[in-house]
Amino acid sequence: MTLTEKYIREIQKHLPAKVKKEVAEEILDGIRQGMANGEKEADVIEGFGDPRKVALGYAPQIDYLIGPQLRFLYKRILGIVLVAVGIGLTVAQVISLLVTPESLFTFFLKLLGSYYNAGIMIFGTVTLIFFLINRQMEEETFSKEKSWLVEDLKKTPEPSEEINLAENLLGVLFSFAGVILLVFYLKPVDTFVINLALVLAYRWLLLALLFLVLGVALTLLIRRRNSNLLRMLKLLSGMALNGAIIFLITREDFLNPQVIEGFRGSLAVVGTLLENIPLVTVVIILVVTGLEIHDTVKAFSASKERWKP
Amino acid sequence: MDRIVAALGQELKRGSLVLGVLSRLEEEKYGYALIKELGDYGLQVDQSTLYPLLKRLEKQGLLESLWNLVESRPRKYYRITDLGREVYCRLQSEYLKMHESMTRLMEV
Repeated sequence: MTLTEKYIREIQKHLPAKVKKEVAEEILDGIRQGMANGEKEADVIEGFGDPRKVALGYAPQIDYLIGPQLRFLYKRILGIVLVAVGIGLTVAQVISLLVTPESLFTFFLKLLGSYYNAGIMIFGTVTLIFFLINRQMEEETFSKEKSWLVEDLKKTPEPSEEINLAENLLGVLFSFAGVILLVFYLKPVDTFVINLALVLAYRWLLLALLFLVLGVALTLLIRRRNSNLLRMLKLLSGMALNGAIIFLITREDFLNPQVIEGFRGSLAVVGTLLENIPLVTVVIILVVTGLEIHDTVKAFSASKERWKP
Repeated sequence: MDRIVAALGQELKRGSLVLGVLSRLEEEKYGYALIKELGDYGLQVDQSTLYPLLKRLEKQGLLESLWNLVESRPRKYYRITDLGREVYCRLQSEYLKMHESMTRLMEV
C-alpha cells in the first residue's frame, strides 16, 4: 500500500460513509497535482497535514456520540442484545402468565412495560459502553494530532492488519465478566431452573476457554495489529467456548430435573417452555458464531485484495 | 501570546479566504494551481483548508467542479457560477466597507 493510499484511508476513517469516496477522489487528485508539479509524495501529504483535521474540514459536524468507525458494530451488538432479551422477556412473561393466570390485557400491558424498560436499559448501557470506547479512540487520535508526521503513516497497519478496537474491548469485557461469574458469583446468580452441579462440573473447562478468549482479545489490544494466525485463533477460541456452552445447555440434565418434573405435574406448558429456553439460546449462539465466521472469512479474503481509494 | 495571535489570525483569514477563492475562479483552476496563485498574492493556505472549502462552496452553489478526463489521469477543476459571481460582488462591497471602517478605527 502506497503512502497516498494509507493517507487517504486514514482520512476516510473519520468520515461518514456517504462522503468517503468523493473525498478520497478529491484528495487523491490534490496529491497527484502536487506530484505532477515536481513535489515529493511525502511533501504533498505533509502539506495536507493531519488526516483527522482534513476529515474535520469535510465534515465539521463530526462530533458523533458514536463515530463512523464503531457504528456498524454498535448497531449489530445492539440488535443482537435487543432480540435476545426480547425473546427471553417474552418467554418469562408467558411463564408468569401460566403460573399466575391473569387477563390478557394485563399480560400485554406487562409485556409492553417489560419491553420498554429492558429496551431503555439495553439501549442506554450499550450506547454508554460504545460512547466511552468512542471517546477513548477520539482522545488517542487527538493526542497523536500534536505530533502528526508523514512518518507515522509508514507505521500504520495495513488494512488487513487492522484490529477492531471496540470488538476486542467488548471481548475482554464479556470474557472477564464470565470469569468473575464462574469464579465468584455462580451460586448467588443461580436460578432454580439451572442444574448448578452440572455447570460446576465443567467449570474448569469453561474457565480455560474464557481465559483463551480473554488472552487473544488482550493480545490484539496490546499489539494493535492483526494477523491471519490471530484471526484464526480468535475464531477458534470463540467457537470452542460457544461449543462448550451449547454442549452444556443442550444436555438433558442442564435444567433442574425436579423443577421440570414439578411443572410437568401441574403446568405442562411451562415445563415445555422451560425446556425450550436452551434451544433459543443455541439459536442465538449459532447466529453470533455464524456472524463471526462470516467476518473472519471476509477479513481473510480482504487481506489478499489490494485496497483502492 | 504567539498561539493567541496565530489563532486570532486564523479566524481573520478564514472569512477573507472565501473572497480570495471566489476572486480567482473566474477562470477554471485546479486546486493545486489555486493554492499557488493565492500564495503568490500573499495569502498562504493549506491544502487541508482549501479542498474542504472548495467542496463547501460547491455545495452552496457558488462554484462548480468538472473533471478533466482528457489527460492520462482525471483532474478536477473549479470555476465560479452565476450565483457565486453575485455573492462575490456583494461580499466584495461588504468587505471594502468593513476595510474602510477598520482602517479609520485603527488610525484613531
